[in-house]
Amino acid sequence: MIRFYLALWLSKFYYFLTGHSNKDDKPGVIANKIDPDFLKKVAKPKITICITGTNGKTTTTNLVTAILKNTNRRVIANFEGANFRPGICKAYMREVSIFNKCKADIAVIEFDEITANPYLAYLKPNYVLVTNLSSDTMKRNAHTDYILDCIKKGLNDEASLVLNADDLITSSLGEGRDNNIYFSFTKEAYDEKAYDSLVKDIRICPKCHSLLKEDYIFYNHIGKLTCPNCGYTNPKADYLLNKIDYKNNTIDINGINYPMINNSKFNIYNELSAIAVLSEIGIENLDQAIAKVNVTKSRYDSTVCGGVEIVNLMGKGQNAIAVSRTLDYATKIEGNKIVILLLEEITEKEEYGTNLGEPISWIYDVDFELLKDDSVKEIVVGGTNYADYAVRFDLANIDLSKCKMVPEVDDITSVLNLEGIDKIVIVRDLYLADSINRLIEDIKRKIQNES
Amino acid sequence: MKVEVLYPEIANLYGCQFDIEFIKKYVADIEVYYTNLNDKPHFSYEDIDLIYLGHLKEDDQCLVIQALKPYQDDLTNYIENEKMVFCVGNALEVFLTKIDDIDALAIFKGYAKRDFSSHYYARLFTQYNDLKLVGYLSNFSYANDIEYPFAKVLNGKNRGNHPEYDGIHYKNFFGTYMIGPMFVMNPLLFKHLMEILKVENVKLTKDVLEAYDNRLNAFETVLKFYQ
Repeated sequence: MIRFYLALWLSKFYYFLTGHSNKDDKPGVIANKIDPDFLKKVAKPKITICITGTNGKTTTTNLVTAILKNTNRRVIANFEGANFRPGICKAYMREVSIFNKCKADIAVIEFDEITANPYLAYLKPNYVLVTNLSSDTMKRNAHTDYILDCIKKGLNDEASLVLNADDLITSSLGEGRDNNIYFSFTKEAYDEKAYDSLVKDIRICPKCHSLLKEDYIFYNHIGKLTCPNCGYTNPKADYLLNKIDYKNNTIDINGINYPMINNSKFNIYNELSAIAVLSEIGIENLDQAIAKVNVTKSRYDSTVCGGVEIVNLMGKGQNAIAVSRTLDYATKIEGNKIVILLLEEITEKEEYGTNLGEPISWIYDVDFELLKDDSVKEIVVGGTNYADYAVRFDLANIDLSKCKMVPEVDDITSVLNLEGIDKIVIVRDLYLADSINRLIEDIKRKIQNES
Repeated sequence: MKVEVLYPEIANLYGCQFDIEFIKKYVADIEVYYTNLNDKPHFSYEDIDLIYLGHLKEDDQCLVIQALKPYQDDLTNYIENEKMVFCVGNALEVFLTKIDDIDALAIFKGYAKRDFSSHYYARLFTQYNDLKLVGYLSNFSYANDIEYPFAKVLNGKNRGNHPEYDGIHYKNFFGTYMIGPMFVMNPLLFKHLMEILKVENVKLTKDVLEAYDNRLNAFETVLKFYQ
């Protein structure tokens, strides 16, 4: 344990020296480097919830953590989205004393799906919440069978799984296990018309390989599917979202009304999953604790200038389903709009002197067909893979006369035609936050000049 | 022209279905059949010009082998009669003798080895005749002892006991480990294949060619970096 204490004390010292910075994972790097078994040896609270999934894990972790804090519980959390080992080590380091006594009541840890093994073995969670599983970045996450396999290898027998019953891939994790808890939307509550997605990560029955029948679909493969041959279908939910009350901003789960934090279906799913796991733990007065939660601004933001609303939406580049969902949300925003797509992170310019960029295959899984909506008057694509987007839009039968391809982000504002426009919707990759702030300021200046 | 897309419900990873959308866009007189696992494949009873098989999850490769086994002779005759097959990603492995311990169709010599210790990704830059090809590898396996290689690797970390070559090319059977979508990202290869099929006047758009040129320039720049 000498090694462990050295790791703990040095990482605490570094954390202190950096003024308890939330943005720096180095304390965790130090702890892990000195003792690679740090996570195994660090003291744990009575209850540990581990959260993963293709989309929504950071939001859900933040939400669960915020709700718990509103019930005056001390929480270990890697709520900055730091879901690899250094981030998790740092989260624990913060909440144990120098003598490794845990000060927290509960741990809420987001973990990356691929790294379930061995993190889950170290953390021994009481609950593992899986928001959803679907195709993700090709480079790292391959396909859903691989992701499922990674998670299964890490699961401990004792953990209760909290699973999305509307997702046949996620819910398959519960097979052969006891103590599963499922959450789901009713068909009536999910009051959005689904479009026919390009990507459906499960189309055949995992038991008999017959084509699955879609009873109803919310998006992609999420919904109710049944095998017409052997009857395989979604499990029954323990936590059922029956109704969304947009007027009073509440959601009804199992007959109880909770405040609705954000009205996008993605975020309502996140809230539903949070309520499921917290109800299972027995957290009292959940509705009051939720009422005090502030919605995270990092994925949706808007500002109004000269009568034009500039909406800043995050769409995770390389994640086709996340971007498709964002585009669906974007096209449903009322008003005539320009959609600006900034989805390519350039990674290799300095090394090779060329903008190779990330693999482009993923755009052929994105439902760009949604941009054919009449309310979308102009589509502007920024980044060096602009020609690929033109090809993709052509194959989507999008009117290319309303598309503008702009290699340099700084040139985007100059091509915008603001006539008759109510909204400018920017769909941007997670890592482009700084470029976006500059772009938004440029757009505001243009609006002011033109008005 | 008649195209048969085999098992689109499972052979559909990484956007490869857009190879078919690409064909539909550029070939005027075309009929496309989508054959599911429980269907009798069209090539077994009618004249088909092109069979397409996309990239698969590894468990699904077994389903494809089982589905095609009863039609193995028809498929072998189809290939020997110089009819065209185009398969991408790990789809070509179902035509080899084995995938690890799993018996495959044994239409071609060679075998595939799987490695699930981590997912393998790489860019690949190859050459087939005069054509430069660009694409990506995204898989958990690689092939050894391929008798009829397809393209010479110019740059990129290929795998197998002959990493200097990618894929299989025998008569008009083309199999590449690369994914793209391959026709979309390699329009000149697409045009070449259409010429073999006697489809003339394929007029590629400026954007398609510009995207290819941009990528080709980038891949060639990286190649120079390594030389």
